[in-house]
Formats: sequence, C-alpha cells, structure tokens
Amino acid sequence: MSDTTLPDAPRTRPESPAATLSPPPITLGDRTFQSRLFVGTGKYRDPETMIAALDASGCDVVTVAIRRVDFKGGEDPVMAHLDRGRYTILPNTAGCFDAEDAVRVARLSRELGLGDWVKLEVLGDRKTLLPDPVGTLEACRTLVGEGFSVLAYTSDDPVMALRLQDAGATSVMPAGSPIGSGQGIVNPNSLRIILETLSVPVIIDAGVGTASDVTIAMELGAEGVLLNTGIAGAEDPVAMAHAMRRALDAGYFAARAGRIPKRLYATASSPTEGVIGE
Amino acid sequence: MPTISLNGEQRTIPPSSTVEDLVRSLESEGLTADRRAIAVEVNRSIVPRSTYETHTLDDRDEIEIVTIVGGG
Repeated sequence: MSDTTLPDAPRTRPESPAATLSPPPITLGDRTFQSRLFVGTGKYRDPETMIAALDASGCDVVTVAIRRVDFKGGEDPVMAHLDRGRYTILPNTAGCFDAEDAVRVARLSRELGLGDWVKLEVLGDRKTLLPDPVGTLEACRTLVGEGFSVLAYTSDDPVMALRLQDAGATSVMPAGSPIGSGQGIVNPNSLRIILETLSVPVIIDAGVGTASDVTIAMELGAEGVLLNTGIAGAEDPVAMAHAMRRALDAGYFAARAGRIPKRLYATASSPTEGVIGE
Repeated sequence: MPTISLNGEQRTIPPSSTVEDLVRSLESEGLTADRRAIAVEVNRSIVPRSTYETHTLDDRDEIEIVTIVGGG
C-alpha cells in the first residue's frame, strides 16, 4: 500500500459565467417575465407540494381558474398558500364551452383583481377538451375590445393561429397535444408553420408529459411553454419541475445554436489520417 | 318572498335584499372568504364591490359568486 494520499478534490468547482447563462426575458404585451415557463396550479396532491414545485420550476407566472365559491368555507387553499408578491397570476377561462361564458369569467377575474389579462380557453367538448375555434375567436375579439390582453389557447391549426393574431391576441398558445394527455408535441410541422407565420409570441400550451417535450417545443422555436399536469401529476412533482426548467433552457439555446444537419451515414469525429497500422 | 338562483341553487331571500345583505347572510352561514377574494355577478353582469349595498335583488335574479382556485 502506498502512503501517498491524494488531496481532497473540491466538491464543487466555481461556475463559469456560461454555466449560469439563462434565456432572456419574455415580453407579453406590456408585461415582461424572466422565466419562459408558465405553470398551472391545479391537481397537486397538497399545497405544500405545489409551492415546492413552483419554486423548483423557476416560473414567474402561474395560472389559476375561477369557480363558484364554497359557501361553507373560505379561500381556496391553493390561493392561501401562493406568494402573490413572487408570482404573477394569469387567470384562465378553463371549463367554458361558449364564448359568452369565457367572456363572463374574464370579467369576473378582472373584478377579482387579477388584472386585464386572461388565458382564453373555449372548449369544444368534454371528452377531447379540444378548443372550439369559432367560440375562441369570438371571445378573443370581444375581450380585446374590452381592453383585455388575451393569451389564446388554440389547436395547432396555423390558419386559426393567424386569425387569433389578427383578432388582437397578445399571445397565441397552440396545444402540443390534448390537455393533460401527456402525449407531448404530436404535430411539430403545424407548430413550425405557426411559429414561422406569427409575429406575436407563441407559447406551447398543453400536452407536455415530460421534460423532453418542453425541449422539443423550445427547439421548434416557441417563445415559452405552459404546462400543469406534466408537473402536478408526476410521481415527484418537485423533481419534474426542476427537470422542466432545465429542459426549457436546453431547448432555447439549442434552437439558436445551429444544429448539424441529419445525415444517413456516419462521419468520423476523430481524424481519419494517421491511424496506426495503416 | 323573492326566490333567486345562487350558484345554481334556488334560495328565498327577504324582500328588498341587497347584494350586501346576501353576502352577509352567507358569511353568517359559514362563508369565510375575504371580500376581496370573491366576485359577484347578477344576471350575467358584474356587481362591483362598491355597489353591493345599493344593488337590490329581485325575484328570479340569477347570482353567481366566484373565487380563485388552482387550475391550469
């Protein structure tokens, strides 16, 4: 046995500036946020898990829903636990199946002090939860006319996305796949066309199952990703939130790094000259 | 006695009740939400907090009282 002992290796090395690089902020209308990840507050097993997951996700904006109050209780525990100084609250119109109800919910959320912005959802049917394009467009026009900043949830149809932009939407939010389905990005080509066509920020909303789905959405060129069930429904929501945050950064930088083209055959990484024995 | 629809349930209220009277009676029955955490709509129109005391409820009015909950 040698009596030489190696010095203790430092457990952590100082991070270089590049290691802490983050994507730049995202601007939606007159609001600017550091994080491009938007996270829902539904379906967590308890408020403590939600708070820890939101923290791990690094998000600045969280979505909420508007529902009939429980006359035998008080504030929803989710809202009681949320740090209103840290998170900006984006109300949604989830559960509305016609334009009128969605407009009413948006007005109610404004009355609740959540400001003049809304994630507009007008759904077509309860089984697929796919958006109703006609109702969504109608509600978008009405709300924009009333001074709302509308973030419009829609399908991955490029023409519909353009119509929503023309109607004055602040952001268009096409689904990667059906809400809560965890199928990820099922139609990247449609999303590519949307991303090429629109000038307003496009945020991929719905269908995210795991971190790689977020990376794929960002690599396609999305400005951000909105998700809920992918974190809340994971076995370990806090670990998944951590993964989603890193996945978003990975996709953002990869999209701008100029990837290599795909080739059918291999190209060697090491020099082909000077190999011994030739 | 006027009968109203409150969050989809029928309910009778004293004549000439205002929104404020209704909210107070709900609070005496167990509603603990802060006033700022609820919003009131009567017949599909918002009733601003500042007019709870002056907005009188009529027979067959449809009232919705909502709050913020977790959602995606």
